[in-house]
Amino acid sequence: MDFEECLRVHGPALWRVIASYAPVGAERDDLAQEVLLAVWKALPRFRGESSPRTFVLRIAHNRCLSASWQRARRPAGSEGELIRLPDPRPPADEELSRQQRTERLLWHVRTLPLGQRQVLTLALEGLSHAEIAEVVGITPENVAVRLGRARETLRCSMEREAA
Amino acid sequence: MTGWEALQSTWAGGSGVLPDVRARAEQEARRHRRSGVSVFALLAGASLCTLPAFAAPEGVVHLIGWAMLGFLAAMGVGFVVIQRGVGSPDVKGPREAIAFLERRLAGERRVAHLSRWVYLALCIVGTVLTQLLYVEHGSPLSVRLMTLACFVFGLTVTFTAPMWFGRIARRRQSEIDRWRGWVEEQNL
Repeated sequence: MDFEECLRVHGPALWRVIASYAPVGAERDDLAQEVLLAVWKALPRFRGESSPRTFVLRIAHNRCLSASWQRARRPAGSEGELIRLPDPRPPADEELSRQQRTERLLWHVRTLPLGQRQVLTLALEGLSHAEIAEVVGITPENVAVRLGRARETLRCSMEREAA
Repeated sequence: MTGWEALQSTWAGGSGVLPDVRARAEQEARRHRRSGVSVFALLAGASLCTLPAFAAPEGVVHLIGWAMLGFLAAMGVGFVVIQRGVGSPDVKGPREAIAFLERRLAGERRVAHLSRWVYLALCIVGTVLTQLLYVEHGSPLSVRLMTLACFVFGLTVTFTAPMWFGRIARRRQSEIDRWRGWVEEQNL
């Protein structure tokens, strides 16, 4: 699989995975750079044992997880995301509105625990339980459980914000 | 539309620009090839322009022609040596791409130094020879001063080339350092 082709096909999905781990700004850019380097490095090792999408998403999630752990080890005070909730007011421009809706969803997704976040983002990408299990390295039953919890947590978070 | 489908629809709407490292390295590789071709086209064109000097009756003009050819030869040889040092624009993997970008930046820095010293020699020789020519022809002082000013201006620009190149290259160097840091950090 060619890197350019891979970016063309899976670029948007990669972007969403990255955005579900890092808020907009330099942190997201840095993480995107890391993920792309990792995908580029790993592509020659792709043997077609899984689907290209699963392969690429697995790399992205692994890199994002490593970054999250590194971030968690950083001294407190460097994380400013919790107070940066996107503006809930509907903007005039439709495109801007769509982007804001996505950013708001991404913000809620980023508040989920890592295990739930992983399965939820992959499910939102349209992966089956078996495919998610392959990416995350858990059983499909476990995926179903985590996904159920993730959806519930997400719903609560969104309801709390609406209230 | 169910709640889940609405979420999926919102989710699928998210997209953004990804910083493509390889595209950056390939862009630099294309620039590297283009710079080789354009420098040699420029040198060949300039060499052709010096040829009429050898048809002039004055010996000093011949010397100016030789000085120009010497300058172009020095620039050409220096450029070839530097280009060979930069090596092939290999962007097979991140490490190779970053190494190429570093070599290219170092090569450009060397070109700035090459310009500084070769232009210095040209300006000194050119100033002496043109002043000799003006004395021979009895040219007015204003012409002499104008020529001298041109050489001084050229020398100022080229002698300070490494300095202003350093300023321009700072951003690229920090970009390369960041990539290098990521590659090392992630053990890629």
